[in-house]
Amino acid sequence: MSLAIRTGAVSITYREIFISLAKAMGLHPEGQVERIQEGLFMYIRLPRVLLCVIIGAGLSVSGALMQGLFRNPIVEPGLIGTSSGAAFGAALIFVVGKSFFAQYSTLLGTMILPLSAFTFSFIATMLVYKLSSSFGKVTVTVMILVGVAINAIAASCTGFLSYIARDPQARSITFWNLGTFSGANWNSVCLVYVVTIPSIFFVLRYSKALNALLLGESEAGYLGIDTEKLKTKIIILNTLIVAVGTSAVGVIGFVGLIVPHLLRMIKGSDNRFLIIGSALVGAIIMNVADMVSRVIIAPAELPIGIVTSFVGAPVFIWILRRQKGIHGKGGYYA
Amino acid sequence: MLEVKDISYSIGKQKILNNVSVSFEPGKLAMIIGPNGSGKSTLLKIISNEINKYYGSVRYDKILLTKKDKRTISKVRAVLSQESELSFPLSVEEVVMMGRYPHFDFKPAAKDMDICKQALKRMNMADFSERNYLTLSGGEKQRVHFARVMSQIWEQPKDKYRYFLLDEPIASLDLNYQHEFLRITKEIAKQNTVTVAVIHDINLALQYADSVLLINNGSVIANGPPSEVITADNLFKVYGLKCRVIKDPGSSFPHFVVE
Repeated sequence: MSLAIRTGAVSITYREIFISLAKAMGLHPEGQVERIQEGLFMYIRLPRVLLCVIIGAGLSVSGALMQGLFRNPIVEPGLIGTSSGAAFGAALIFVVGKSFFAQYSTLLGTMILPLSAFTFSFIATMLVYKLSSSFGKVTVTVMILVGVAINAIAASCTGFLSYIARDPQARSITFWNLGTFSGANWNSVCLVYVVTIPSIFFVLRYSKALNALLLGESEAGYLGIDTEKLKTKIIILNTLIVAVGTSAVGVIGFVGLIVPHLLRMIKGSDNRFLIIGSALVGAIIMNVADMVSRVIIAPAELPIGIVTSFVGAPVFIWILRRQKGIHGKGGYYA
Repeated sequence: MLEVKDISYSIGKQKILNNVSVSFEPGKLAMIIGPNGSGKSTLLKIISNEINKYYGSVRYDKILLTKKDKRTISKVRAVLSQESELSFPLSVEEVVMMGRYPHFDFKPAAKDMDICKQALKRMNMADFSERNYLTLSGGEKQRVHFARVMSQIWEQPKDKYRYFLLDEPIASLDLNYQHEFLRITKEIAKQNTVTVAVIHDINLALQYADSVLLINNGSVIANGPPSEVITADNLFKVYGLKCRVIKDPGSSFPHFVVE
């Protein structure tokens, strides 16, 4: 993490970091820091890295949750409409909302984007879940097809918005569909932390029930779990995490898919381990990806979604091939 | 005591169960037999509350099933299905521990761990506890699930009966384990447990059941001791097959062969 803070178009030394931190805490350390380094650290680099940590954790946990809920290891927020719904909700605010809500206070102004993202994200996820399950069983093929359809609807709505948008708005939508941490500031950091950390704690409480759900819905019911309530709670928590994250940094693919997979390969699917592990590993991976996106074409930077997908997709294929070899029957992904 | 009264259930216009009433007593192994599509599995699903929109009533200890809290009942009632759809890598130990989930909140107690170990040992699976469930054979998987449901109702609750429901539990097992499963099931039944198993093999029913419920087209054809229910007449009526009874002097129960 500290490496991530130092790296970038302008590099910062540990000494400068230390002094800036001390200053921010009201101390008067000896030594001087260039103002530009201090500002860069306090207002750009630090919030960015913190945001990276929490978004990486959130998306990975969300992937683990959805894979457990759909009882299918290929599910991730991008596949079942959660991300694209959030993206549409946010784009809506970018284009129509700004003029509409301009007269309201700044607090509402900051809240309206995540709220809208959450609403549409929730609708999209629920639609995919409801449409792909019949008699309590989720049919994988149907789920993927419905997911594709809902994603297409959301994407075309977002596309329409960017078409009618004026140029700067359209550019921010595009940028945002690729995901970027460049807009990180203390406001977004606070909001995402306040939502994500309690959500992850809540989710941990349900990890036992999620394990039981892996047996199937009726089996989980025999173990005393109210599966309908559990599903709704998990979908709401998951949508909260993804929507708030997405409203802060845009759509970032593949992290939610790959992190839980890696962990499963190492230590199995016990959700108690999987959720905590996903949060940690997701945070690390996201930071590395963000560092790459900042450094690779410095002094400019790449949208992080490009990095995660470009690296993530081949890794995913590699995992798939490997897994087939282990089980021989291909049953895991059948 | 498990009482099922006037159960009717339809899907669309098709009647699956028609006015079924039956009661199951603790200490006895009851088996439900009948042809494919006769409604026997549906009856078990209604008893286990997986299906909850039906006419009639199901009572556990004289209390309506619909009034019972899911978690409370899961501490004394276990259900073993024909097959599980578990397709994620989990250790055998953890799958068995799921049987103890209703009994603890976050962390399993030493007692829960101990029960799981004993249940696995009872199924001759003690050496498998670290294995990945997905790498097991079909029969081994079913043994793991048997250990899971056993651990779920391992302890005898005070002043309450235990309930054990099995839906065609032995389909994926070899001859040895078919009998082993039924022997253990009968043992559990004897310990004051209401035990109901849906089963296909009438000879196994003759050997192990204390009472047999014969269902066809959603209605009860006969109910009683196995030798009274499983007769050549009834089998012809229900399956349309001519069967012959063979009495083997070495065994205490009759056998049926299809002619």
